[in-house]
Amino acid sequence: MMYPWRGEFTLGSQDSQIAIDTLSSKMDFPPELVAIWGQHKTENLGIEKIVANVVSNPNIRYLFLCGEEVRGHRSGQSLMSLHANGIDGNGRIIGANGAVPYIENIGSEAIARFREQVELICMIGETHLPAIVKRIHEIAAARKPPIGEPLIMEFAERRTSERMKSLSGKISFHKDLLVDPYLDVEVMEAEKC
Amino acid sequence: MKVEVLEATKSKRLVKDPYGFFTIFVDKPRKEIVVEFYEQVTKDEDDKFATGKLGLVLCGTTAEAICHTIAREELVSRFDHAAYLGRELQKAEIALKHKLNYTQDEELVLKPKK
Repeated sequence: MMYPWRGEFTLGSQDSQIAIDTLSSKMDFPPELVAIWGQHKTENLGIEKIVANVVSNPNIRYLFLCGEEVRGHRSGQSLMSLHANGIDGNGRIIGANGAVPYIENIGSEAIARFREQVELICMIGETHLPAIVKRIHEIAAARKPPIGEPLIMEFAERRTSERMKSLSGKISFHKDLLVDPYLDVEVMEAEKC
Repeated sequence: MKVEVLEATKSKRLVKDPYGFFTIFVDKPRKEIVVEFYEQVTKDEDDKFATGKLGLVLCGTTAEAICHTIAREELVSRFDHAAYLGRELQKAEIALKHKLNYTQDEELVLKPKK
């Protein structure tokens, strides 16, 4: 399983219905029990990444929040608010207490799907691994069917140096060639010579 | 010839780059450094708080190549920002090569010799 938005998360079982957000705590889980887990530090970009990756895997039906809350950012509380309330017209997560709880990079379709797809299991503040694993086993017993098709955030391939169209900063060594300071050589177009 | 000698000092305040900001992490399974460039998005009236609009994702294995790409793409406007990225990307490259944990803005913890 390749998740669309890359990050510092760990992958476990493709069949698991459980994702785990460990907030500011570094924790590891038995890979056969959990689909994906990792830390989550920010109340905006971090939440966006979680939502984008969760909705790409219809098997994920439960999202655990555990570990220590992130001071200032209130990332866990903000994610719970997004799930409970969604966003307002300015992209602000309704009810979030984080410093900058705004959603910019994912659409309303993904947010609606996220809210429908997963049930949040709030264990914020819990860092005792056996307690979390015990809850995972309990939740795993109540298996739900996958929800619809994957909703994938697309990343377009971009040609390198697409923005380097001007001649500024380049050195001409030859009437037909330009070399920029990074030694990328390109053929000059006839009208530029 | 007289040449001044200046003692290096750390700047006391961070000035945001109006072009945007970067998040950096090491994708261990794919053995790559990943850099996400976000354009600043201001959400309050006094321009104090901002989030970001994802503008570009850069992937590579060396700090040198990623720094050169950032410069070519003109993603920074401040010298201190460029210097910061150089430091962070070099840390990320060392972490990638030596299988260490890299966290942006945190000290790189080297494994003790056995």
